[in-house]
Amino acid sequence: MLSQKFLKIWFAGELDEKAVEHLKRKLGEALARRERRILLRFYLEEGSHESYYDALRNILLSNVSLSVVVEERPASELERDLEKASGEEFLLVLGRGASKPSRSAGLIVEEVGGDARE
Amino acid sequence: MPENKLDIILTTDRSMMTTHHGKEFLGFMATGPAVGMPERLWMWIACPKMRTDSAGRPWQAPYALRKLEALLQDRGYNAAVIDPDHVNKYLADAKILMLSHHDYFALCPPSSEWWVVTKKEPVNSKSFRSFMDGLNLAEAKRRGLKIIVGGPAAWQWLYKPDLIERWGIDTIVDGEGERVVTGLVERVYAGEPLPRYVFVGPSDVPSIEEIPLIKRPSINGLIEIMRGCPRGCKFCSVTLRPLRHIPLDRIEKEMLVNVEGGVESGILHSEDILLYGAMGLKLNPDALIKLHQLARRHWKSIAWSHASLAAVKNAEEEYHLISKIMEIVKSGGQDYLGVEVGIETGSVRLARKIMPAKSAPYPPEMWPEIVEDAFAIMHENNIVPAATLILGLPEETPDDVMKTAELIDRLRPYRSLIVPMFFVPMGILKNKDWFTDVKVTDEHIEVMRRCLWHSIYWAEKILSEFYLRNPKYFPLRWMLQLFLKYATYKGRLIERKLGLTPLGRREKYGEEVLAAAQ
Repeated sequence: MLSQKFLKIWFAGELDEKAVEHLKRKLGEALARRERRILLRFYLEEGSHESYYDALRNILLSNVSLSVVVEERPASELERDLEKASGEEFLLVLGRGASKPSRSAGLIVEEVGGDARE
Repeated sequence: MPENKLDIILTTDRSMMTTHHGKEFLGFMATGPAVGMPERLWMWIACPKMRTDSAGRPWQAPYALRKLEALLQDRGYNAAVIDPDHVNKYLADAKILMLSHHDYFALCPPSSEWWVVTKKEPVNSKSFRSFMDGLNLAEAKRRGLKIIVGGPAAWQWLYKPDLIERWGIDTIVDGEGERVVTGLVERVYAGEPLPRYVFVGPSDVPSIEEIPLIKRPSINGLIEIMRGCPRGCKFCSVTLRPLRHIPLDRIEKEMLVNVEGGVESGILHSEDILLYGAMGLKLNPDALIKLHQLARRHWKSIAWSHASLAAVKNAEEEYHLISKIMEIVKSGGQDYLGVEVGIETGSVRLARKIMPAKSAPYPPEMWPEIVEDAFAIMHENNIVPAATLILGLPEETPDDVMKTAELIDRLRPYRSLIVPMFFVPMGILKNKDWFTDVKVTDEHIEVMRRCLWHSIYWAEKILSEFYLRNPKYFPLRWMLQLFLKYATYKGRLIERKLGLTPLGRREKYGEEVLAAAQ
């Protein structure tokens, strides 16, 4: 299953209520488009553990139909991963407090709350 | 397997790695805390230690672990199921520790209910925690051990981030693992990072051919005959997966693995045994007869894991199938058959809302009648059901709960155990509010005490006339009878404390209802 095609969403920033709702909506849209699998990659700041799981649970438990893979990466790796991922298709969702990536050409970026830092 | 070296250890704690003395139903005791006796004695009754070989491989192991073991061995990995008492000696060399459980943290029913009622942590959760804390994980993790957890209770880890951190859990796999696990193992071998969580959706469940055959015995000879369920009840996760009927030749091969491994009785496992071979919800008598003839040929005694009450009624009324199956069962000298059934609710309104197809081929409006008719059919045919019902379903009203209480009263004449369970969000209701003790109402208490007295009344008869009749079980029977006396005493005490009119004069209550029914 892991080698199959996944719809990819990367998320950076604060996983607050708005972000959770946004990602849940993304799952719903994916399902409506008859996607079967979705990969959610979270870029996490140090120490965001407990609230992250509360939010994650909220997102994951709203789904029963899609296969979901959740990956976690340190927030500091985002820029490097974006460099490496050039040519890959994915959606980057920026939550509150996330810095806008220096490379944005060819990227589909959505902002939640609209206060991502330049 | 090279002596004391394994790349992949598959295991679980003692509450799962046990034969329950060959009496699967005693496993229910592992979902509660020790009541009225020391915990060690409770554990001995519910979860005695498993016999192992010198390498620590258990004689019998949970079916899901056996499936994974077969899958990994078929792909050439040095993997084996290991008894929890022997895991430490393999940790120094292992690359992966794989865990499975029905209820890691006692959050599933009925564990969660016993916890709420007794205010004491059930032994399954305590046993798992003490197992994990007893492993030399720190050193193994430093060396690079990866821990992958799965099984039907995998979702519970999402509520335990502190324990994910403490034990260094790498990946949670929620759902049927056949198409995922080898991919994860390959990543570990390649030194690639693992995902934190994998949910296997309906389109990624394995086909029948992808489901491996077990290579060593499963606990109490349990064999899966179907996966998935077509009834679509909203509180159930199994129903979200496609329905697959395992062909008889594959079932027979697994039966033989068990029999050759010394496990001579078995449990047919499905969410609804009577739907084996069915076209949708239309029963297939021929497939069921062949299945039971096969089981009769190979097993000393046969049990069912689950059956639906609508199918019991339909099978008997339309095809006399329950009588026919019991003729086959009894032809081997066995005089009863145990099964778990779901009443869920006595309310037609709720039945219509949350489980409209559970009553099929009958309409949901008939649900209470279906339950009573099915209980009567089972009683007449010596099928002993352990029934469950759900309290605290979303949108439940006090009237719904009283309808359930009334139904339990009507079931009094029928030999059975009835266990109330608190709603736990699974299936498509899994994002609903959790039912907690603060929401326990007077009506819930009415249902709970009716279940208690019903089950105490019948448990003594079931123990002495059916379940533990064999003299080798006398010590166990004696201890359980003592426990029943204690439960009676406690039940009466609680009723008095709550100022409730006692239902608890169990002989009197039982006889009165029986007389009324006759």
